[in-house]
Amino acid sequence: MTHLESAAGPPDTGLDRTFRILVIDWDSTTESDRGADGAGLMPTIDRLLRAGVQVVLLGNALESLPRRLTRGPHLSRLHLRDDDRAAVLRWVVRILAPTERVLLQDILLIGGDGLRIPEVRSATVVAAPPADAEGPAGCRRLLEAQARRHPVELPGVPTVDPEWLLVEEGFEITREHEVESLHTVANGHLGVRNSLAEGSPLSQPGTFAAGLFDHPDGGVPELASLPDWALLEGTIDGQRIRVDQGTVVAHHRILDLRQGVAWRMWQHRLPDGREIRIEGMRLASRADRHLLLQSVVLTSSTSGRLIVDGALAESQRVAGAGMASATELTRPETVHRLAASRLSIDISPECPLQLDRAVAVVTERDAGDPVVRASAHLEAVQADQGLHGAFRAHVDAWQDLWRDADIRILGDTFLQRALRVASYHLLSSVDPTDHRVSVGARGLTGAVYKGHVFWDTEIFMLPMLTLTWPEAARALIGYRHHTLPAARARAAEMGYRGALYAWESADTGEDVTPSAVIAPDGEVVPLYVGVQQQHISADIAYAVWRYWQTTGDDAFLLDQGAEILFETARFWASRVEPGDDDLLHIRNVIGPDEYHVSVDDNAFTNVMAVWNLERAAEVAWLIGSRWPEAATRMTAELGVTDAEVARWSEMSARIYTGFDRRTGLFEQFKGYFDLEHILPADHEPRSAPLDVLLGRERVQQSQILKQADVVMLLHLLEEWLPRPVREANFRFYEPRTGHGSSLSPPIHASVAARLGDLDCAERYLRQTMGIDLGPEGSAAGGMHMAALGGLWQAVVFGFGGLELTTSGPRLRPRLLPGWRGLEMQVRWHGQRYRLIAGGAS
Amino acid sequence: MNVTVLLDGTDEALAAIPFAVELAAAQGASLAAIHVGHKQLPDDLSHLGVTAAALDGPLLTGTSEAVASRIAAQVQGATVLSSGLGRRCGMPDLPARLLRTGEGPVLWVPEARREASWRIREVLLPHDGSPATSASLRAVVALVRAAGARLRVLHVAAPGLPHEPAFTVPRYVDQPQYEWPAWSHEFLARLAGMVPLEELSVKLELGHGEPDEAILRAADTADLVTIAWHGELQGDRARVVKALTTRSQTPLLLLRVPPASAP
Repeated sequence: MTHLESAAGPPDTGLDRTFRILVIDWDSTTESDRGADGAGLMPTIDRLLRAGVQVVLLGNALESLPRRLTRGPHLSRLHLRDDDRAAVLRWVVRILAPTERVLLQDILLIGGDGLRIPEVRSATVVAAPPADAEGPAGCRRLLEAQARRHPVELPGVPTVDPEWLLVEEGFEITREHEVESLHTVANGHLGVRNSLAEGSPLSQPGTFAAGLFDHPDGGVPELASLPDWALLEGTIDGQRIRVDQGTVVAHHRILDLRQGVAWRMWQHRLPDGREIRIEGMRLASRADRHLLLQSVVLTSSTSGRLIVDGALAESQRVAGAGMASATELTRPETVHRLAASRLSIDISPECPLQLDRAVAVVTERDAGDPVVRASAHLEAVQADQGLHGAFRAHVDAWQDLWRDADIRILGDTFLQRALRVASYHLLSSVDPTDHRVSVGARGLTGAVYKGHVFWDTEIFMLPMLTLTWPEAARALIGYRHHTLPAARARAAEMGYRGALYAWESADTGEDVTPSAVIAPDGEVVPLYVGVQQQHISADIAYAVWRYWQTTGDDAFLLDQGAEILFETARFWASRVEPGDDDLLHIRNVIGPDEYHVSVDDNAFTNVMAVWNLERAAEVAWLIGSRWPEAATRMTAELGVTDAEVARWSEMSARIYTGFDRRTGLFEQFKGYFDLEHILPADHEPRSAPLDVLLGRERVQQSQILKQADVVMLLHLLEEWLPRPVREANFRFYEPRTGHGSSLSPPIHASVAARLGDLDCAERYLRQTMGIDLGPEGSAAGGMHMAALGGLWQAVVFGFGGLELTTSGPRLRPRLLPGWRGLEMQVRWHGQRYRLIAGGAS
Repeated sequence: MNVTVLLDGTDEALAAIPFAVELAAAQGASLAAIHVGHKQLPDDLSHLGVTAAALDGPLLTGTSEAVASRIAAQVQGATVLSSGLGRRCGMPDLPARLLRTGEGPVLWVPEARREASWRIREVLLPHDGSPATSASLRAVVALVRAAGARLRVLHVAAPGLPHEPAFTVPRYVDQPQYEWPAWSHEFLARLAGMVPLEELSVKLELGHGEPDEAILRAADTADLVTIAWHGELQGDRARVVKALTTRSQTPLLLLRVPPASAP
């Protein structure tokens, strides 16, 4: 327990108190100040301004500061003066100090001898000339020490523009899991559900590290949940500080999409009638993937004894990781780094307190002892940046991401926000520096899908990343290369060649799909998806090729991409079976429509296999002609020969696709057209999936589809399919689709928009937005990452009509009525393109 | 807190006594009686677990409307009645009136039930995911806890849309192996968020089809069904209550919830 009353304070230097006006003289033309890191001072000065301190800057080295400071009324306290120093000082003493009611002894001058004028000396101003002794570093320390003396100021403020904010007002306990998911902060390496720091009856905290799995005996790997580092259980005079005890006066939680920060403002009346106010923020640093930050300011209407429990100061080894936390307690005039995980302290209305907690997490995948590394990492952060510096670096990193990733839609506020929510969570899920992990179906927002990776990543999420953050996209494809040995082994186990990727994979790439599920009605439902949903291999090949096509990243193609394309093509070449019709067939599979299992010749699977074989052959010939040395290496390492490549081409032309030239329709699988025709529309309105309402067996015997299957083909292979074919198939399959998967509506929105059916497209677009943002509670277990990626694709490919031509990207927009414009950035072949439709600019 | 059993001198009405005894025991309540139409008790009631003295309550006569309103005014706590109450004393509609007028819980005992003792071992709580049903949760859980019973929560995946915002089955089941366990967990977690369920045996079941039929099927194997309702026997929203009071052989505990939030 830390008893602050007994803690020793810093030695008395005359500077160990609070000053209300700071005059800083920093002239970069002088030898001692040259090369000073002015940028590093920005967060500190920003914080001082927010704390009400008047800051007068002299000299020219800091002229760029105001443009980098956060906007707000606090900037009125910043005074830039490049005129005569003596005149400025006289203005400070005669005008500024009286106006602000500041005593002269509360003015601190930081600078050289030029500041020593008679008026100032007679006013007993303390001068600290850093240039004399330690130079700019001393100045910085001095300012930081001052900043720490001004507590009750969070390191930043929420963004003002409501289109960047996801706001949860009040407290409704049944929504708690949804809010935790929706307001998750993550940086691709670490993800933190935004549970209430003090807990509630429904709180389900979760901190996850990408790729860190528990391996329960007899079960499938599960995304490991790390200890609740943000826990702050508190009492005041024995009364627990919790939303469900006492009365909530006001409660706002804000996910600040622009800054990647979860804010909270909570005013509460405790059972004894006293009111407390808590403001806080937390984040997973986008600038430092090992770092988590939390800041809380607490004020109380009356005095009392506050006790706070939580991992305030400790380091520990947890499953596969090391965690270290350090917490700084700031009160007026005092700053203490806590030495224990319990704090007991008196509070009063006049004496609020601020807790700033930094936590470092290092997994065993990184070299060295994770606990030692986490502790060292934390020390380095504290020494180099402090919380405010780390906060600023994080916000800057998000600004950089948004510069490329933001899409502006004028005229549709709800969609604008929904799209930013989607982009935020997609960007939050990826670590571009780690190719050993991928993004699970719920990202780092929840553990419901155990962190398992599906085709969701390549087909739904990757397009957004490939076009806005190719480094991240490459890392995700790197995971598929990293797990290629497991895919090869899986194909071999099943008697095939090449690589068959797992339907569900975790850390190793081995298939981790359960074989059955017990439904809530007690029925044991066997699962065949793990064995039969083999289209995932072609889906991954598709993502590889799209990435290369978009980025022109030849090095990737030669190092990793071609190998994936070849091995997946090999799989299909060994998977097909000759039929009596002299064609090749793929039997006993499941397509994206999972209502129909063990089917033959699923159109999606077969056409994607054709596509996979064709692209592999194409790439093999390309490498042979353009990079003969690489081709030689691949022949040696992979055994790919000209004969095998020729065989891929020949086979691709003979695979049965179920396409009827007369009608222009693909038959979704052999025998589909003979099934009972049931229209989902006849069962609307409904809130339950059709297989639940009608029963699994009946749905299996009908033409009802779970999700886009042939329609998914239309989406992925648009440039290979003529418009009449796309039109005919969409009109046939769309009415038969029950959308029992969240992956379905966005693809229908995209295809409909590209066909020009905007009414239909808008309907599916709105349905997609409601998946996580609607009132049904779908987000409780985590965000639907594929649907979020699908929403982005529906807007960009569908309504924006993005096409990637040989001369670059272009839009063929089909904007909804009411949209005044659409503006986006994409990266194509190393260049950034700003694309505008309508009157966006 | 009282448990008041309504008697009319018939064997059908007497059959409600063991249910009243068990309900009173489970809740630590005292047992009382009100007689309607006739005040007549057998000399020996020991086989039903009570004495005649314990059932020495007032006699109410008159029209069923008047009797129902006087019972509503007099009863403090739960009312226990046989579905055949009043039939032989010219008040055949008395049970239905009591359902509409009673402010407290009403335990409805099917008149065909004639056992000498009854134990609450398994309680079925049909829950449509609405706040209205949740409003009755505290009383249900208290009863289950007091009786040392198991709680079966039944949610029916029904056609159509819920009448009010409700947490119902997931609209999207991307992967059933994760979606269904997650939904079950979430459903129960939300209940536990409102009323602690620690140390209780709670099981969530999913039914299919029309709610009244699904609940009737599930009720067959329960000792008691609890329903939150608003007291109206008109309209579709009371279909479940109608079905259970007319077709089920399982006792039904009706828990009044405010009209604004009732199903």
